[in-house]
Amino acid sequence: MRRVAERPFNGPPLAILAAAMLIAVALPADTAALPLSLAHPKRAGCATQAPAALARAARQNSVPSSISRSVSPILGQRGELMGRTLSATASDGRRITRTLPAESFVAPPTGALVLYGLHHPDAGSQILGIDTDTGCEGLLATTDSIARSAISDQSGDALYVHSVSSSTRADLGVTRYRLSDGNVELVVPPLPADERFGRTFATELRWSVAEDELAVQSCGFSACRTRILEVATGAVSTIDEPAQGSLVALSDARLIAFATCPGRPCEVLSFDRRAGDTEVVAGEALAAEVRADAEAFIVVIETTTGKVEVDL
Amino acid sequence: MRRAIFVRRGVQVALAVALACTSAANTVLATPPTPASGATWAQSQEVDYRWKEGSEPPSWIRGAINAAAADVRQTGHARTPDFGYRAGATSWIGYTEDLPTNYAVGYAVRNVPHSFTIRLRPHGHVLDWGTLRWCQFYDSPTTGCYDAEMITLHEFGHVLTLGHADEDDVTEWTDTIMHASPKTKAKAGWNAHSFGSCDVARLQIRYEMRTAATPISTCLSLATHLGLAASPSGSVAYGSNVSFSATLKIDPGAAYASLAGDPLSARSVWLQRRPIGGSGWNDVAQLTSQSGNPGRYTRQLTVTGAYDYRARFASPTDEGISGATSAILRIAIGDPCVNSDVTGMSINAPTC
Repeated sequence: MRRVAERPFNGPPLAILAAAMLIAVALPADTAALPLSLAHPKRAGCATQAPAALARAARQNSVPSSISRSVSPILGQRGELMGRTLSATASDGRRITRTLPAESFVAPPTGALVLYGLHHPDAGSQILGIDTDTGCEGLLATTDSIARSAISDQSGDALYVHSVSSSTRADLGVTRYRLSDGNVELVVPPLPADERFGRTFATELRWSVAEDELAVQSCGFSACRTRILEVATGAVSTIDEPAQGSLVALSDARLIAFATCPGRPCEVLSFDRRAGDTEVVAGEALAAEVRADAEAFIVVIETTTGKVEVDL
Repeated sequence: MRRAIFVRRGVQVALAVALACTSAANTVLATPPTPASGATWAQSQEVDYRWKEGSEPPSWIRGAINAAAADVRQTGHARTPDFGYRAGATSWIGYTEDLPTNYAVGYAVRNVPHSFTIRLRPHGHVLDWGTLRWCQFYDSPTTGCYDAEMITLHEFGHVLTLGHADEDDVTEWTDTIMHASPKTKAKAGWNAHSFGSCDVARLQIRYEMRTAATPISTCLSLATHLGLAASPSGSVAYGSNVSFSATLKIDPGAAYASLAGDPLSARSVWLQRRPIGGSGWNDVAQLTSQSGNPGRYTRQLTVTGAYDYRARFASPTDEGISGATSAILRIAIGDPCVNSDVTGMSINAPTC
């Protein structure tokens, strides 16, 4: 593991962050052609909360069933994507709405934390978090490069951010940003070019079911490869069998993914991480999701002929 | 673009060994039919689509989508479903960011035999490599844009059960539009608006030809069977009118059961003859394909001499079928003193 030399990712000084953090006060102004809209510009009790505290609390807060989150596109007159509207409903019923530019992302919800990022060519990228339990929001990190996706760890102490170069859009790997001490570290190196996959269309960050490994899945037009970061050791392994499509789940034993189908139905494959074998665990699958029962995690696959369950 | 493909796959080892005995090591293989899987739609089923409510495609891309549906009809050369727009249809096409994967620019879901959905990402969606741009958005498309008609035709291919081609097996880029990574303007194939020959091959295998006159994809290599009958036959009177009837079909033993035995019309089938005991065959007349009787070819001749006859179908250069000749049919003349001749349709008078 090495330190980032070219500051692809800049953690804001904590003092500044702590002061600048809260949605109401700290959100960067305009992020692109579309202005940020602050539906609720100020919220009592949030002003002194540091980013680490916000992320930690939000990550660990349970999500009341009343909380909802949606992302909808903003299209121009001719149907061109101008940006997105992020809407979330806090536990007290307050509606939080943010307008994001086209170069933005909203991470899948983890706990009560809604993590999102936006990029402005002049100002770089900002990564922000909303605690839907408290309604507080904060700027968690910034980077000169383009943040494409981000995920927080289980504790909420660290953010893992995938970014690309703002000049060439070359992959810059995944950087870990420790919210508590501002430490910034490249933990997954830039993705090497590979003609089997072509240029990368999207990169997804997903925790293993035990949340001790981070899957970094990069996909070309149809085929994907996954690099797996073992957080405790910093070791990175790769599964780059081109039969791999969209990621379903990762455990210490296997990676479950759809095949390189363009749609559904599609086979679901299991990649044995130790033996390197690939096995078809379901054909004609329509959907797959991870569920936890009392003893283990299982992948439940809905197929055209019924359900298939795979132990992780 | 042409790439030499070397036999190197496990399943092809036996073939490689056989070929090694007769040819050099660098064996070029033709692109196989595009892979496909899953249940098929009914032949020629009408499957209409609507625009997804709330995600209606903008007007500039609707024309490309509808054109792609027409491309299926015009270039599939098989009894595939006919896709067409109809308000209120069960199937839908949407212009949306709501795709089940974060990397696809188009996404098809089929629910055979009931419905399908196709999603196309909006113009301006940002990917890791840059911004998705649809060529149809522009009056003068810029380099690097995706042709929406080509991508939609590709998605219709998936709806029809086609998968992605294995690029290692593809010898010519234009053999298929089902590439795992379609090209942007202005790379070869970026604006292909027809299925490639190996897509057509798979569609014909899965859905059969549209009609008996439909050309067989050059991506296939099918044997044919040609039969010949005559009426009257055997020994006939001098000057008799004999009706020759040939039947041309895909060999009943063809590898693809769906095509085996299918009749072939509108091909060039010739009637040949040779003197009894002779060795050289000469074309006598071209048999006429019968429009109401698929695979049947007929011709009537006035026979004034004894000959062996056969029908011949020469291997076409623009189809994936091989030539065939029928079994020999002998027509003798009942009055042995008659010396006669048939020169095309011109009959010489008896000399006896």
